[in-house]
Amino acid sequence: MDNQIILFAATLLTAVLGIIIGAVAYSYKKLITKYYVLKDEIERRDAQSKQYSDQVLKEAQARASIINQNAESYQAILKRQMDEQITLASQNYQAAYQQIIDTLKNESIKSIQNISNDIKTDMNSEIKNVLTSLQDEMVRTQTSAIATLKQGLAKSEEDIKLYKQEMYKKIDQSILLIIQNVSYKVIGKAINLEDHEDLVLNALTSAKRQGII
Amino acid sequence: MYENILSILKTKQQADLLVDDLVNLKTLTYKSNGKNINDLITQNLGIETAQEVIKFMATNKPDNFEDFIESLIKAIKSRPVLTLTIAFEPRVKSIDRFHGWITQNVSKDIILDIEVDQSIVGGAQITFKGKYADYSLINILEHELNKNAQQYYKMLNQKENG
Repeated sequence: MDNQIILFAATLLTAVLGIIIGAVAYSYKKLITKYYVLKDEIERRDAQSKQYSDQVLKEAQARASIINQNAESYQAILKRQMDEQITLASQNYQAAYQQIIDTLKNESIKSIQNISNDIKTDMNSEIKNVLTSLQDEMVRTQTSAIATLKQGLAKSEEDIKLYKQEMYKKIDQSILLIIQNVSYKVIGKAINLEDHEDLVLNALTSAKRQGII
Repeated sequence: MYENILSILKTKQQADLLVDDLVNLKTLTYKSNGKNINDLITQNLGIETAQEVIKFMATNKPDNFEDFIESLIKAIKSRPVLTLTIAFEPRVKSIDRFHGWITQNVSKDIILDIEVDQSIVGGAQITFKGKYADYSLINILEHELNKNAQQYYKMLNQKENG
């Protein structure tokens, strides 16, 4: 009787244990499945983000290339414009100077008639020297402006505009200074005493006409 | 009153020199105690001025020589001065030309204060009775170039905006 109870109990225990092991195995299998699903999901997301970052990188490279191209073409345009403006400025000042010389000629200042060629030669060589140094400076500043341009095209356009204005001013001031120096050196020495006196008498006549004296 | 004496003076430098000479003459007259005044004048003033002063004294016979000198100094100092800045060292003939022009066209009373500044290149800067005008070549040059520069900037702006 006791043996029968023990056998029954052992059988029952074995059956319960079997059920428990079955349940554990089932849940383990379910867990493994879930793990693989999650792993697949992570890999898919990794792939997606890699694809996205590749795309962003490609776009960034394309944009950088466009900016670079724009910068280079802008540099070429700017250099051409600066060359044009420098030539124009030089021509304008020479024309203005010629006008002054002509005015003085009309006022019968004989000596000045002989010196306009000297002035032209002196002024041209002085202007050439200053323009060469300005060109060098322009190239240096352009390089720096182009670097800025690469960082942000919009801001650089403003920088370049300011830079151009600054350069125009420099050209203007330099040429004015040259003309003053050349005038001082050439005209001052070339006018003879009688012409100097005539100029002073002209000044006195103008002063009387304008009510200064 | 002293036109003949004062007409000798063309520049402020001459006027200042004459004032110094007259002050000196006045002191010497005081110390000379009866010595011939005409000798003192001849010895202490320039030839032309001395002749005119002696001539004036002979004609007008001033009561007191010292008062006459004081009055003459006052007349010299009251002459209007025209300051003329020019670019060259003037010769005597230059001063004669300028003063002659002023005498003929403005007034016989004006004397010139001539300053030399080579940086004005040519022409003259004129100051008279608080008024100033610049007729120097460097000023004309700057004016013409600035005028031209304005047109140039205008043209550039049009080009930038266009």
